[in-house]
Amino acid sequence: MWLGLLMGSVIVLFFISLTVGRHSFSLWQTVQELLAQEQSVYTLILIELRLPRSLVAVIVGATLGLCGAAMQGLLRNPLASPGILGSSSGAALFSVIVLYFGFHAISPWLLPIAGMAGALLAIVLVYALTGNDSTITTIILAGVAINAIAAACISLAINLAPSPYAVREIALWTLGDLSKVSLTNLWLMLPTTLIGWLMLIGCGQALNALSLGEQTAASMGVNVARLRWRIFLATALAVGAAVATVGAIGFIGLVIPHLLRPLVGYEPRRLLFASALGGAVMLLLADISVRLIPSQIPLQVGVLTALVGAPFFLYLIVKLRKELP
Amino acid sequence: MTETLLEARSVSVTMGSIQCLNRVDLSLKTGEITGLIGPNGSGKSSLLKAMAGLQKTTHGSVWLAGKNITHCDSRERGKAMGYLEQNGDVHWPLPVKRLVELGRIPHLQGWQSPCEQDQRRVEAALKQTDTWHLRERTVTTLSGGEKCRVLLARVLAGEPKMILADEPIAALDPAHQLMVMESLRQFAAAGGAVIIALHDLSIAARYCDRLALLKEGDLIIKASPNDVITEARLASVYGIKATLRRDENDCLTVTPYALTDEAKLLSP
Ligand SMILES: Nc1ncnc2c1ncn2[C@@H]1O[C@H](COP(=O)(O)OP(=O)(O)OP(=O)(O)O)[C@@H](O)[C@H]1O
Ligand SMILES: [Mg+2]
Repeated sequence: MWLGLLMGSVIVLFFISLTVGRHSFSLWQTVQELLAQEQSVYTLILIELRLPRSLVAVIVGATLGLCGAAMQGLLRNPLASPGILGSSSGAALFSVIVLYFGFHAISPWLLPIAGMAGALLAIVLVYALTGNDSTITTIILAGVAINAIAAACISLAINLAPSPYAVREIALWTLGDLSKVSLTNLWLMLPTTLIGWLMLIGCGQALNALSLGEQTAASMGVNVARLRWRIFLATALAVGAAVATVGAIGFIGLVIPHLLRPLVGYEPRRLLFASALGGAVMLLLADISVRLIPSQIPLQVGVLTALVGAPFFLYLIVKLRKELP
Repeated sequence: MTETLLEARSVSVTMGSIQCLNRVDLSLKTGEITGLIGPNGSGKSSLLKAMAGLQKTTHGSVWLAGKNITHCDSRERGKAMGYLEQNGDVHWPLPVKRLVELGRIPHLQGWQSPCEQDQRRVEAALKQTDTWHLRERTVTTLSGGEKCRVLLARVLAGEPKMILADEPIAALDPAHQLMVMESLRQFAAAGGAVIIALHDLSIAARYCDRLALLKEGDLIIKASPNDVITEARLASVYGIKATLRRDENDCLTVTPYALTDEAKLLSP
């Protein structure tokens, strides 16, 4: 029932997202023009700008929701999210390096590749820091350390940036931005995203078993160490691609699994799919909102998700404190 | 005809600098309940983990159906054995019925949901552990003993060939202790094998076909309860004086009443 509702919301919001923007035109008429193979400004806007923007919002939102649900299931911690392992900030750091030195002018491919490389490097570093049979706590601590290093390096880049223009570009980019994505971006991020998704979707049963603890899950035939690295790698692929394309959009991976968990009976397996849909809904909503909110300088979508997500994070902590003795 | 399902051959386990187990040999046979007794820290949990393939051995190996357990397919291993952790925990506030359903995971493929037949097994397991009336409750709201029984129901729902249970009745009231032991006896009578770590020596003597007594990682003796539990051995292993009473069926009741003089010297 809830899944149907979420799926319906994704479809409806997707079409709304196609119609919202600086230029208003009839979606229906433009689609008819397209079908008749006529070209106009509006068909161009629809195909080259709005369609990729809406599709990327769906894909990135789903990635963040799905990865958040998988991480929370794996770490059995409702406060975990893709950011926790540093893969988001690793991807952000590498992308910033590319932006800083202007490498993206050489080839547009360099940006997404750097993002994935950064996410993967963050994972490998976590692996190197924690070793083979590490506990969840050391993994989280390693993630905190990686996040701190990445944040420091990004600050350094902003500090040393040669021109105010570069500062602005880097800063805005780290805030998360859907307004500049093109169909090329979409094609670039799609392959690794899909691989990541497939790897995660297959983890449902094992995540269910993990709710009984690692020992018991292992006794039920789950290879916990392999599951852990499978989820880390999948997150690196999908989140790396997403961050490189649209910047670091925070809090979706944290908020969505949390909101949806009671609706799926707290079952980690069912939460995966639900969170993917929920993440898409949240990012579409946020992206529609930033286009509707009247403002001289366009709002960045990552700013909006953070403005909504951070207070929610506080609320979660207060609520968890009440529930736990 | 009894058949050996699981066999520990000269198993040693070292954790850090502590030798938890020292060359222990033990086998589980169909139709038998093996009781694992010994003081705190004697290595009962370590032995169960090693036999379940969850703990690397530093010497020796564990054999499941003629195969070294480290080479067994983990799924087949999950189907064959039901392992119940000591003080097991549940990390999400799952409904009791869903939790017991998790026991079916070794029988399910990737995205398969539990089918009719799985549901029947879950219901039977709930009834066997007297938790049927709790099925709609959230597991985090249960009492300690209720949770223990639900976790045992999870193991039973998996229809394993053998059950390795680590102190499953430590938190239960006397009636439910007997109920759980009865259902384990039924499980064994139906051709399963059971190994269970226990601290209640009377229950161990009454329900177990064999007892294995551990002390500081050494397997002191494995034999019938009447041979294992003697006043001298209780004094030397546990440091207690106890009255042993034998009823008309030759069944032991053990009532500890004092520490031995040596144990008194050691206690503060
Ligand atoms: N993770 C660990 N690291 C180091 N030593 C450990 C670890 N786990 C257990 N030990 C040690 O191994 C020994 C055997 O522990 P084990 O848990 O097997 O005892 P037990 O017989 O199950 O005790 P109890 O009756 O308290 O459950 C103990 O001395 C314990 O301190
Ligand atoms: Mg123990």
